[in-house]
Amino acid sequence: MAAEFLLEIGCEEIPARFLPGASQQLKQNIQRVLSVHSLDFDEITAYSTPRRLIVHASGVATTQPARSQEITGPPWAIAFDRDGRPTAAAQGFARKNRVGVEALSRIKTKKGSYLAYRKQVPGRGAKDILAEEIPNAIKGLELPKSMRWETSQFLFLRPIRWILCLFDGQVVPVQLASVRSGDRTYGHRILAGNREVVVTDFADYRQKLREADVEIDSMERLRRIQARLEAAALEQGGHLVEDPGLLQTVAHLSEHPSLVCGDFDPEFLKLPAEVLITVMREHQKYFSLRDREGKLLPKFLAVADSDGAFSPQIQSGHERVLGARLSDAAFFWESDLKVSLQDRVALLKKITYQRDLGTLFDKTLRIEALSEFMVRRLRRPELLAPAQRAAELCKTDLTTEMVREFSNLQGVVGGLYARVQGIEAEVSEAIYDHYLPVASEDSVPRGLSGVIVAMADKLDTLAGAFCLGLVPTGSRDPLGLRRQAMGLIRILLVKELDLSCDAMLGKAYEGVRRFADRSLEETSATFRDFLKDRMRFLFREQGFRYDEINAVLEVCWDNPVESRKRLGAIAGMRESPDFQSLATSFKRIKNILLKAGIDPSTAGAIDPARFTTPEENLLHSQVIAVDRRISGALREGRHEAALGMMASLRPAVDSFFDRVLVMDEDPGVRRNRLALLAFLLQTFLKVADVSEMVTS
Amino acid sequence: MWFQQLFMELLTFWGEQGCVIHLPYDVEKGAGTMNPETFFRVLGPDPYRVAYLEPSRRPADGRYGENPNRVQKHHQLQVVLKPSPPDVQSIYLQSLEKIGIDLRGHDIRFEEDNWESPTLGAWGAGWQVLLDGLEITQFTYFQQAGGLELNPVSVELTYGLERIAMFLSHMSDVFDLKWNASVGYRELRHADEVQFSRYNFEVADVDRHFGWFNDFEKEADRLIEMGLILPAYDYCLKCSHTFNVLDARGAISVSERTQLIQRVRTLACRIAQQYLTGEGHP
Repeated sequence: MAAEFLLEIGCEEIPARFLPGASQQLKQNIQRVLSVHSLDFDEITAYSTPRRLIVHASGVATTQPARSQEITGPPWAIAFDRDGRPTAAAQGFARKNRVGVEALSRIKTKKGSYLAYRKQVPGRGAKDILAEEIPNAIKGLELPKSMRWETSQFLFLRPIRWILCLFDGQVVPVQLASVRSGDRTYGHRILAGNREVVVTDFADYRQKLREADVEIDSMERLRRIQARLEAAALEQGGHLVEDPGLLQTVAHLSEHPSLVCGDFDPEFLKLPAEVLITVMREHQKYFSLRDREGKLLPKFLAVADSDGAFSPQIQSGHERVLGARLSDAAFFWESDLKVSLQDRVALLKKITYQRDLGTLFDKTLRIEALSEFMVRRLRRPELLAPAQRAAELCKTDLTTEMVREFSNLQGVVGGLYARVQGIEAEVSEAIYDHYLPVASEDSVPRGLSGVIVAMADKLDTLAGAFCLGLVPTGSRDPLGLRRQAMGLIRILLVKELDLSCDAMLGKAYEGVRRFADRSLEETSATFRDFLKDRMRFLFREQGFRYDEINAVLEVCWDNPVESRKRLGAIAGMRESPDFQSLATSFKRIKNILLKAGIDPSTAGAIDPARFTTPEENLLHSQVIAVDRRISGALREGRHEAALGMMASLRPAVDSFFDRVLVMDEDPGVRRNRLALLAFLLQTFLKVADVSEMVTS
Repeated sequence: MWFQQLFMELLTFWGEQGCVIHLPYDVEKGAGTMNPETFFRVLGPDPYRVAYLEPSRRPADGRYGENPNRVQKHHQLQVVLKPSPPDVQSIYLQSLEKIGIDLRGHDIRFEEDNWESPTLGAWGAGWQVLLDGLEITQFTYFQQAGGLELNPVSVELTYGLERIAMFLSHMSDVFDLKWNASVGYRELRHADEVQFSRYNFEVADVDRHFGWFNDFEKEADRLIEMGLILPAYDYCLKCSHTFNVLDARGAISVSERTQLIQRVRTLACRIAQQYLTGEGHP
């Protein structure tokens, strides 16, 4: 027998940002209840609106399958007398289980044979199990921020006001906080006047809620909004400024979305598009439109939780609100421009960058020093002036009203003000771009000055945190250090910059040394491990395999561009038989040295006079030649060639291992052979630690 | 609708809901929440319902009477319902109908906004209520005040009266509002805005305000020691307002800011604790 389960937790408006997570978790927890209790089901689905968390399961077994349970009684030896008649012990055991002795059987255990009863336990009804488990499933939700609203002290995202819980058409009795479950729900708060609706099953529920102006499927609401946005854009002769995050949010903010298209005073178009779009998005959750040339239109699209019947009235309300917001922005824009960015540098002395890391002015000086260091490393002296100028001004927009109001416009606002104040494009662009890349889909700064300042800023942030021992753990990364490190690596890769991260970190450490409570060595080690982790993640995303990544990062993490080239070479080479065999030999060599207690980097000199076999001589002469050629190839960036050279040693290595016993009785001979292997190992390690490779 | 009609209608409505209709408190404050009728009444177990009008001063919001939307003194209508009734949202929506808002014809949304007052050691979970995109009410389930967990939980509704009045009369400049049939908002309030903006931004004597801050804090401290909690709270409010003036004056650095807030908060928390332990309980 199979039946349908429907749960709706009716709430006051749940914050949009929590809705998807809570909804998915609730589904998982209910699914776990069903699985743990062996209740089969066909399909389980989650839905949500701001006022409801919904789980629907179809084809749920109405009872658990029966199961048998073995109850062990007295030892077999005392259960029957000499004539095979049950003893008092056996009869007692049978009586206790309310069966005749004939229903008992014999089981063998490690301790011997016993009398036993195999009991058939009927399954419990699904409804009872659900009634018992649902409260736990809900208390088991991991809620990011919950609240209390009544004396029961029950904690949830927002107050729970009703519970609809049906199984097989019957109410499952559940209580959460002071609310008891029933068979009713409520329609749209305004459009349907919060109408009470009695429900018999899911189809009925969905139908009646549609009639009561509620669409329970957030994906359906999202699609509807998307379609209307596109239609409206077309109608206005422009195209939508895409904003997937905002689209998600507004889909979780309404039960019955409709679209309102409004205008704002074209006078405000004197403000930069970045500012206008941000005001509309951040303050009002409006979408913006551009014309065919890409210029912003004096229009906005608002998603209302309404049916569109009173659109003109709603539209004029939204227009007035936006007008006021844009006036504020225009006020900020004009008053900010009264103080030049140059004059704002001094204001940075009053703003703490971070406790224990000085002021923003201190940070600015550090970014300048680091920028200069990078310019020299890159041998691009013409960048010195613009990069340093951008570094000097890059944080000044943190003193503006505009950034105080819209913190996510930091950098952008500085760049815009710089442009208006007549600062050269290379510098204003660098200021504009220097927080990039923020999200993984972001591009990197456009010009090289921007690239340099962006990297200097990130390195200083990382060095500052690590020198104080602030390292992200688990999901906690309040300073966004993972993003900073990822940004640094991505810039280096995209711009193919040949820079040593370790050297840059060393320079960054100089800047924060006076605040540090960790040594340079400790800070560098933290940085290295952190960067390696980020690179591992990034290269995995790019499709490289774990073992390839480990083999490379083991010997080459400092320069991500170089790391990626080697990865490419290894990935292309790994299937060749020579390479596979070499990887195996490599592991063997590592083990031999490890067992002999030899550190490959200090294994001592090789004395060719002490070789006793032709194989030793052959391998030695080949390694010397290959070692030199590998160094050359790596210098010239011919990574495939370097790997090929490694592979070319295979016959010599094979015949060495076939014919030569490394652990010779004569300690001198033995040491000499170990030194040869150590040399070989060192040669290979110049390219990659191929012992990390998984061979087929 | 005239401005005075608006708050009178709302007060009448909440009076019918069993609220004590109280009066503004005569010490300067940044928000209606700071009125003792909220700060003290949400503490402890006793049920209470109150509604009052509160002129709220935010020196930094002054615009010399030149901005159509911002003023350094605006009016809040504050409602506290303790414990929070289960149908509080629908009662609230009825209050909007009472002032002439046809709900069916507008876009009304409850968007997450968790109110927090660091100076009072208070926070709550709730929403800003948006009417066609305009924030008209702060709707909060009080979780903590004076650093203390609250049980029962009170619900606090704060109506922004100027905004609602502008919305209802389709005006886009606050100074165009009518206070009653013959007197306008400009007539009553414009000079206030001009003079206080000048005072808060340009004239207020910084050293003297820092001195006052210290003195008010000392007086509050002394009164707390004596168990005179209600007068102590007045001085705590004066500290808070003095801080706001200094802030508007641009006299407070970032690090100082945190410290000063912490000092007011410490007073508020001590006062709340003593209030609950019995002494000073009205």
